[in-house]
Amino acid sequence: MQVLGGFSTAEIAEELSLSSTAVLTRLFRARNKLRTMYGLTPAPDAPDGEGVL
Amino acid sequence: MNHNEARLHIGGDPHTVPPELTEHLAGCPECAQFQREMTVLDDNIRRALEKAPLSVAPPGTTAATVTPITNAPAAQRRKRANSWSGWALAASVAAISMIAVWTLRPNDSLAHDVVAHIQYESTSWSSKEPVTPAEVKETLARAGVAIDMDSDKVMYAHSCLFRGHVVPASGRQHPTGPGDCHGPSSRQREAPHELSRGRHVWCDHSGPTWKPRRDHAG
Repeated sequence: MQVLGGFSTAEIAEELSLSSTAVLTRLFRARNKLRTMYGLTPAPDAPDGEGVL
Repeated sequence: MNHNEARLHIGGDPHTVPPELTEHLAGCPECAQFQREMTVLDDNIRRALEKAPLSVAPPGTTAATVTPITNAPAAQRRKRANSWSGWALAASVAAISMIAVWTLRPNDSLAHDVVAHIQYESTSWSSKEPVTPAEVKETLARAGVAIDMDSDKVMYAHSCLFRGHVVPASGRQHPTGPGDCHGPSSRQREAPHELSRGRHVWCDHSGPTWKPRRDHAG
């Protein structure tokens, strides 16, 4: 939705009934997995507790 | 914006840089480097997804399936093609082998086959009791032929499945010894074949009446 659809974090959060922080966390973790697949050093994991912020 | 918040925002949406993130990046080289890497990664993801076949779920749902683009499919296709080529080659070799075996198989002559066949009809020469004309007629009728019963006395009458045809076999007693008579189709007919215990003869038939040829029976 973000990459191809151009939806903002807020729009995705509204569509999926999630908080903006939860959306950012999931996208962060997904990109981190791709970094690992590309052989790059993964960034420290996103803070636990989606929707805390 | 603290360090964790900056990382989360960069990782979640690398291309959107709000003012507070810009301020943090100015003072944090690590996050700036992370932001550059994630931006490049995000561009690669976008290019990959734009090339990939995308299956979007029906309206009202949010699930979507994306087939990732990797170098693997081409290699897998090549491997699959090689596998099919191997099976096709093996099947071709097997088919050619079967055809060669069938073509080059030993093909005995008709006379040889008849001699081998009548070995299983030992009673055809030893029987001394004539069979009834009705029995002879019935045996011959199964092969679609008839016989003139005014000739020799038939001591044996039997229908045989020979080379794919129902063939009437009859045993007769002659002054010179016993004899077998098979009534093959015209396509199968060959010269008479002499046996050690007697004579074997092909019986000609023309038209609806089928009559043993005594000249061959000796």
